[in-house]
Amino acid sequence: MADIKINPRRKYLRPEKLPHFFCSGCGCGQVLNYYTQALEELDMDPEKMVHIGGVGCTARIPVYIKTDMLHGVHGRTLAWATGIKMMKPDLPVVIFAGDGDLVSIGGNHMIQAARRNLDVTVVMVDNMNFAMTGGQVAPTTPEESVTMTTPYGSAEPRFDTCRLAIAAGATHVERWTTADRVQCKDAMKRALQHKGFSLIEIVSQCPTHYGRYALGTGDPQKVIDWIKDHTYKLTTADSISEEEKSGKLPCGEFYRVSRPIYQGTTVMSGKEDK
Amino acid sequence: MAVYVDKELCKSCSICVNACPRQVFKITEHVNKKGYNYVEAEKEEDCISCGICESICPDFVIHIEKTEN
Ligand SMILES: Cc1ncc(C[n+]2csc(CCOP(=O)(O)OP(=O)(O)O)c2C)c(N)n1
Ligand code: SF4
Ligand code: SF4
Repeated sequence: MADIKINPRRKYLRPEKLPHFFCSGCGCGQVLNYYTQALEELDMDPEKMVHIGGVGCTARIPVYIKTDMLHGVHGRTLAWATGIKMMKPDLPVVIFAGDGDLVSIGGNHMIQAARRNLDVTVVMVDNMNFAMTGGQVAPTTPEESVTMTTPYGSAEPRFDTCRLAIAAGATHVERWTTADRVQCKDAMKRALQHKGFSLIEIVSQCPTHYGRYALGTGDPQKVIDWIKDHTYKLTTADSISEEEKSGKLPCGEFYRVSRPIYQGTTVMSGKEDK
Repeated sequence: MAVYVDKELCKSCSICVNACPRQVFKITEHVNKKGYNYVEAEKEEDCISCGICESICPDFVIHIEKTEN
């Protein structure tokens, strides 16, 4: 057989780590794919950046990238990122966090970092549950979903993480789904170029847990189709009735403004020196 | 034009099978080292080099080599 030629974006990945640990058809792998496309189009070298994951399936994304990487403290990605940015303000820092990581255990870190406009990119893979631990309900789980810990359906409304981030002070906020391959890539490119706090939420399929518990299917395509049916695009929002929108998440570029970034206290940043 | 499939990385998810506008891919009976039935570009000659499969595969399995013309 002729030699096979591999996907050129594999140059950004650690060969010894492949195949990665994500389940068959998991959206985390797609997000990693879109991210490498963004890096390539911007000609950015991950070896000159820092990537941070907390704990969870999503948090493993940086593990596969050839980069300096921190991984393994649940919810504390932004605490690490704040420390790095105080010492090395010009070093690009990209965080991959699950919805549980970012808005449950790490929720306060997220809103404070957004308020300060810390200059980082946060990619939140919203698979609508705590996946790695077996599919428990999360603050992002849609109402009435059956999960491991809500066998009769979740009675709680879910967070709209994008609205939360904007209210807290984030300066660049977008939401897409894993089905929006070009939009995800372009959103991450905008985030990498944005000076300030960027949050890119990507609604994603976890066929293994959210799929099987809440939707009764472990077929990745059926979960992707369900996500498509339960989201709508801002650009077509006017042509959709309020009734049709109810219970669905809007997707699009919500917010992008310029505001001074956080550089620590005056003492820490040494502004009075000289 | 050529469609390359790195079969040892394929996890048989069928995302490429569903996404390809020309139905180029098929899940085969063959099993890779990880135990997955991997895909094959069964109708490689029908490929229009759109690159959708390469850009959406969660496992970086596929590469489409485009020929300039
Ligand atoms: C301090 C702490 N609490 C709890 C855990 C257990 N834990 C490991 S992964 C995980 C869930 C992560 O869920 P999420 O952030 O949504 O990521 P996903 O796995 O869904 O991608 C939890 C609760 C932990 N590792 N550390
Ligand atoms: S458990 Fe869910 S989120 Fe985790 S790797 Fe599997 S499909 Fe992906
Ligand atoms: S999308 Fe990738 S992992 Fe899934 S079946 Fe196709 S080649 Fe295999």
